[in-house]
Amino acid sequence: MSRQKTNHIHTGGASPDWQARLRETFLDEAEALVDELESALLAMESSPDDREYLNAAFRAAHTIKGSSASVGCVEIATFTHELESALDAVRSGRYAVDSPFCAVLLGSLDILRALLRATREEAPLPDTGPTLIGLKSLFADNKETLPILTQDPSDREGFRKASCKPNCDRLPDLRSGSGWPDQIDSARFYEITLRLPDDAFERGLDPLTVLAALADESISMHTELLVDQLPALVQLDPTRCYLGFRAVVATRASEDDLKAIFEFCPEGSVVAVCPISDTSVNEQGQGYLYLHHSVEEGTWKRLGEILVEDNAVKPEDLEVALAKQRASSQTVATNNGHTIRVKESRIDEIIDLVGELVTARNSLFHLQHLVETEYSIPALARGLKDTANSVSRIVSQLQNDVLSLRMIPLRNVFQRLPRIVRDATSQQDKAISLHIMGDDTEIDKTVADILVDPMIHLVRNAADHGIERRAERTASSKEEKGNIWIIASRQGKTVTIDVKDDGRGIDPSRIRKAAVEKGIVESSVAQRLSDQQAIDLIFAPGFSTASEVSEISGRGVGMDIVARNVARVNGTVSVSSTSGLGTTIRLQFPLTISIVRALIVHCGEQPLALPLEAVGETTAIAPSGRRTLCQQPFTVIRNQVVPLIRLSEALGTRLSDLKDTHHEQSAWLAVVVESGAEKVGLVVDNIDQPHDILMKPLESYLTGGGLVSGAAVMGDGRVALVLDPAGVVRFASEHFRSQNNSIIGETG
Amino acid sequence: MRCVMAVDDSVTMRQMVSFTLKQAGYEVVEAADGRDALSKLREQRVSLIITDLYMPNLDGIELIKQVRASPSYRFTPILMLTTESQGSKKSEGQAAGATGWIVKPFQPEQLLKVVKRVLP
Repeated sequence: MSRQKTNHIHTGGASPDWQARLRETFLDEAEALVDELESALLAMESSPDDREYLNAAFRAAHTIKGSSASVGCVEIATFTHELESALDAVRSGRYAVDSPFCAVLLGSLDILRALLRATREEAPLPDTGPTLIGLKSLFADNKETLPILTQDPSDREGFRKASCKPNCDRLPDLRSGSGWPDQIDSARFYEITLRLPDDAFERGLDPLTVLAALADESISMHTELLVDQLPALVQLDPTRCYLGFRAVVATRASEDDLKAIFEFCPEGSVVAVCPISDTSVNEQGQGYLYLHHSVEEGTWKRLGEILVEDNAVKPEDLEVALAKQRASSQTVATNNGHTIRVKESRIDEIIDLVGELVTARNSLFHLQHLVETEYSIPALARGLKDTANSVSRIVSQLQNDVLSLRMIPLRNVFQRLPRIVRDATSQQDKAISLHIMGDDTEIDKTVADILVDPMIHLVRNAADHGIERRAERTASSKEEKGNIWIIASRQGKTVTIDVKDDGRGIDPSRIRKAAVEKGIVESSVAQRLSDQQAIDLIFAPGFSTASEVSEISGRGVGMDIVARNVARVNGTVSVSSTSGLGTTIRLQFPLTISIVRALIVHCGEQPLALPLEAVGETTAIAPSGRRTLCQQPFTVIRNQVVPLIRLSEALGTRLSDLKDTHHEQSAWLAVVVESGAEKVGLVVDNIDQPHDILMKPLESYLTGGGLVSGAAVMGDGRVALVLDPAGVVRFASEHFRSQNNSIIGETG
Repeated sequence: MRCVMAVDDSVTMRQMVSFTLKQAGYEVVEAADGRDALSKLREQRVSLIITDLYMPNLDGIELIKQVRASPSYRFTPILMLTTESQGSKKSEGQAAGATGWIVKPFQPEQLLKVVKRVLP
């Protein structure tokens, strides 16, 4: 049996545009709350006695229930109601937190996520029947009723029938006199009396407001002020409510609507709603008297007070415990800081504008330079320079601030990881402790989004393949509980994330064997690889050494995907492992992928930018310092061979564009570019200042085979190509090695 | 111009209340929890406070108590947003000094009706 229900958000009369926005808001909020609920549940599982997590989970479920019902997503509200019941059962002590409980609830969260997704995509909703049955079977029914979008409930609590006699015997007079409108035939008459308790003002109540509300519901009204409670002026306290009213109203409103007006009148009020039958005013009518229902539960005492009264706890100990509780409740990190939701596209627009500002600022310097050199107006040049510096300072600050808008803590990237470890431990016979450090390190959101999947892959690998089963661990004299550490840190503009485990490590010989079996390398090549190179084979596509296909991750463990994603953010990934002891995977990537400090060089007329952090040095190499081997020029710098690449050749710039600076007899201007341990000398035509440039990445088909990673607009309006140091080095070594079959040792 | 404060940790609820009231001509100030509400109340005057009960940092009941304790808001009407139809939370709120309540989920017209009952 399939149910093809979809969720419609209805907000009664609001414009479609606003409805759509409310729906977006609700879905965004609900999705974030489900994440919070999951974190709270996982925390509850490991510390079942800590009430804060329980309360956070309850609050999240409660909020989702309330808002989903309010926007008309009935299915979601019904479902979440059961979740809330379950958590409420724990809160009131009817159920204890244990693993099966958490498992059922975590499973329900997956269904909830599916419901939200289906609502977002306006697709048919998944069947919640089986899960609901599972939830309900654990607990007794929630005492609270289900939220349904209904009208004002007609059953007015607190009113009970009592006989009353209208005080008004003047009705016939009133009707014949002036003041009543002519068409009051279908109206009914009531005599309504209100006296509020004297502390009414302290509750924000005011008889005048109630009277106004009554007037709204009436066709006509005659009012009498009740002043019998009014004291003498000297004793009058303006904060006390002394006045009441009695009104005879003609109204078409229902009795329910009338009663509703007095709904908030507290204990101690006197409210009488007495129907007046117009045939016999003096007859005793059936009236209604409103008395506030008393508080059933009596006074609530706090747990601490009860304990002290029963002599179970000494007052001093109670104080200490309370102080600790207060301190710990303040350190609970809730995700409810004061934040604003902003559309990513809006921030991107601002970043683009700031980028243009950076370019304009560079133009300013360029102009100032022109004025100084070509036009020779020193005074103007000085003024321009001051302004340019001042603008530059402000723009730098703006740049930092704006880019920081896109920064989010790594915590968001690591959000799903505890759940993954938990699933792995429950499905295989393992015990794993996950430690996360440095998750408040902030990175650019674009980078973060790209890293989520690789992190999931890495942790899943560590949990599935890294950490051994309990028995295996104890057999190798390890602690039964395995550990996975995620350690994030930032050094300057680079972020490092290590995923480390104390599991079985990677066995190079197993990798070699598997690689040969899968046809990734030939057996002869495999034998010649060093252990580290063998381990690095795990980055080859389609690689997997899992001996059985586990239900969690079967096919290729996805290291190639990890490597690819990391490369997308200009990062690197490396592995180190010791067989039997554990594995560490290290991800390193730049903080942001936008603004780069680069050295500007020229090749002919073409400006080029080299990220400054990859530039080792710049140097002029005289003919005597150059050697050639098989037509490949190189030089030696501090005993290291540095191949020399003429960028003009590499990039294919037409020869006629070049100035003849690469003549054999003249010195070559070179920039030494470093990537890893390799160095390459790029021969250029001139070297300019370092600049901050806003790099826009280029599509892969424009990158000249990996040499160029992006483009930037210069101060004078020309477009510079941003070179990729790793790409350049790769090009050089391929170029170099292809000219040489043997490895060069010393050079003379 | 009458100004209403809407306090709820749910963005969705705040938007609903805010939109409904603005359509009816009220000015609205939003707050995400009790603490946020208190700091905003210090900066501007409101004529009515509508608040959720379950919120982090400072919950609804605490907020009601603190608002009632402040001289400028001693007599200001306060409405609670509650999903419970039992008496317990409502009585607790009233004991703390709340004027009345609105049961979630509500139709926009219902919200306006209740607001008119406490705000002239």
